Amino acid sequence: MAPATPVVDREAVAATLQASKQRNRQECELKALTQYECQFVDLESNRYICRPFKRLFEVCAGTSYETTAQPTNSADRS
Amino acid sequence: MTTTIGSILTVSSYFLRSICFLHISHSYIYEFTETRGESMLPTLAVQNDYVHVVKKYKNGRGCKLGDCIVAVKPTDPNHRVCKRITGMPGDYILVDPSDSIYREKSDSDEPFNTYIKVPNGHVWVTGDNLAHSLDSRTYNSIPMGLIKGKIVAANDFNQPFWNGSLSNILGFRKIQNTFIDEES
Repeated sequence: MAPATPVVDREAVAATLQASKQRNRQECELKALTQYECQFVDLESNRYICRPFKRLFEVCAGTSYETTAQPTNSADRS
Repeated sequence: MTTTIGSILTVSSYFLRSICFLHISHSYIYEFTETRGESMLPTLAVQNDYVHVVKKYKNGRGCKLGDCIVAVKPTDPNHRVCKRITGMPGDYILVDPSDSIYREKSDSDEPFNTYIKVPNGHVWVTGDNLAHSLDSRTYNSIPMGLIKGKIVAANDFNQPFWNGSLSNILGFRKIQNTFIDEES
């Protein structure tokens, strides 16, 4: 099993990301990974509908910092 | 009599060697195995989907964020799971941003304010179908030692044998890494 993993908030992650940017002085890349929310509409025929859920990451010096926020997927759901 | 015993021993020897070869190739080279369940929809079908697993990625060697992997389920060593890596060691990732969908009516910001740093030697894995997946959101990150290989392709046996092209016989398709550059 994984060791106990402390939960941190957005401010702490943003501070770490900022420190990484200053330390490495290099461009960070914005990356995306799309996953889905699928619901069955007919179990017998295995028919389902999937809605994409995009996750955004800023990759700096080999470390990924997730930057997914409320507006990231709001356009898809309106 | 001696010839008969010799023949039996020879056949047994080849049988045993074949079993050993299969075991070694399944453990360290390549495996073709069935997957079941809805956690990887729409990437993998609920049933009759068979995945091609390359074992050189065993123990997470060479795995990257966005790869599909087969791993031993940490809560049940007799079962294996297919998931996508959504956090590598040292990455800061949101525990469950998709939880925001179910909180649309509330203004809670918690799904976007709950991060963890993936511990060294571990990866964070989630099913592509976030709505029906038991994954790291439940059992935390998993040790890389539980990774048995990377899924590089799949055959959906629900599809017809011939689908109009040589490249997708028996529902064949490549399973891609979905961690891509974001278009600005």
